[in-house]
Amino acid sequence: MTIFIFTGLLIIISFFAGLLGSLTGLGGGIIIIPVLVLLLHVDIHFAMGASLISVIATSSGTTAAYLRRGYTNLRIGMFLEVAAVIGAFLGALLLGVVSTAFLSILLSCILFFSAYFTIQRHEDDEVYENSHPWSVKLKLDGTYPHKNELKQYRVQHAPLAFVLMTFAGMISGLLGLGAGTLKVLAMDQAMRLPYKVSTTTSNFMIGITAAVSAGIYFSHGYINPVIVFPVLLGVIAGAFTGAKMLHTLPIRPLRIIFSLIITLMGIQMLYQVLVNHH
Amino acid sequence: MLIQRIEKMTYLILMAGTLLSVLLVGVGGIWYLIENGGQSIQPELILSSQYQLIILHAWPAVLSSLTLINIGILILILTQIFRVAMLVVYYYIEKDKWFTLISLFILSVLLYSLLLRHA
Repeated sequence: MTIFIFTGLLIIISFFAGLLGSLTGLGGGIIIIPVLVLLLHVDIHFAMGASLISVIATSSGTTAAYLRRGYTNLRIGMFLEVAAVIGAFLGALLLGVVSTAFLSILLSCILFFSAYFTIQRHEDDEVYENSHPWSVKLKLDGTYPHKNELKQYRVQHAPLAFVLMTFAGMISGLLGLGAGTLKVLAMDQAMRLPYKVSTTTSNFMIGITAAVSAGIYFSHGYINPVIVFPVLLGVIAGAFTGAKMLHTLPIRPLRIIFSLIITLMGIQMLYQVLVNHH
Repeated sequence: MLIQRIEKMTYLILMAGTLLSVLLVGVGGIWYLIENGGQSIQPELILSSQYQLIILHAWPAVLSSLTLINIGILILILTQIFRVAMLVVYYYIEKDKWFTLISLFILSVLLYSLLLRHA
């Protein structure tokens, strides 16, 4: 096929990945990498590099909007980001020594994991009287806009969240994903933050984590401009469209479709690994 | 209030940087397609990690359009670095010891990862 057609295909695929990613809140990277690798036989490292760059761009674009609305907790974000960048740095370095098969298997696991958690419902906010001592010392507690007033919330289990975040950072560095799901999980489950605070703060963090990984990817030579160019443009267009459509579409069926798609891709990736090792 | 000015500046930098980056990537990409669109896709282009060396030796002209894309990508990374740098300044002015250190640490990891040259 010609480069022109190849690029065109990439843009179309990326557009739908970005669209689905922004509608479900899971990001496009998780779709792009398997599709690029399975369908178009792109080297997994190049696919991951392209995904990472798109993640930075979409994170930058949406963070700006969320910061203004007052949901993002900057202090929690920066505090946890320390763990995330350490993880991302380590993960990206590990990339030089792990096998492609390992990456494929790991990616499959993340795909299944994400599929499972997309379907999960979220508990109502519990009310806590106190915060974890670390949260008090670092003044991590915050308020967020809720029904036209500022509602206070407390922050629990800061050390646990920190550890989870290191893991999330490693996944991000190792697989070129935003790992938004893992980040939201750490804040939602460990710190018991209100859901909207978790998602917007995670969004804020993702761009920084991805930038750390991208820096290392550059030195490894995993950033391929020929691949990045169509993927970046496609994902941005898709994410932008998705954001506009968010109000008009029912989220639940989308999440189910999304889960099905990525589960299938996870299975396909595992199958590929098995086939290549006989 | 200082936090509002910092937030506003952060917003502007993020948007401007991202826009500029996408513009450069777009222009570089279109330029690349104009020059090379008709060629059939070489396996090295999408499969090998050594593609950069191959392109360097084979098509010098292609380097310019791809370099433009790479610059766009770098600017995207730089906006993140800049945003963290702004937070360092903010927390320093607010005399928040812990968070100045926290953001300084993140900034140094960002810079280190970008400047690290693979052996």
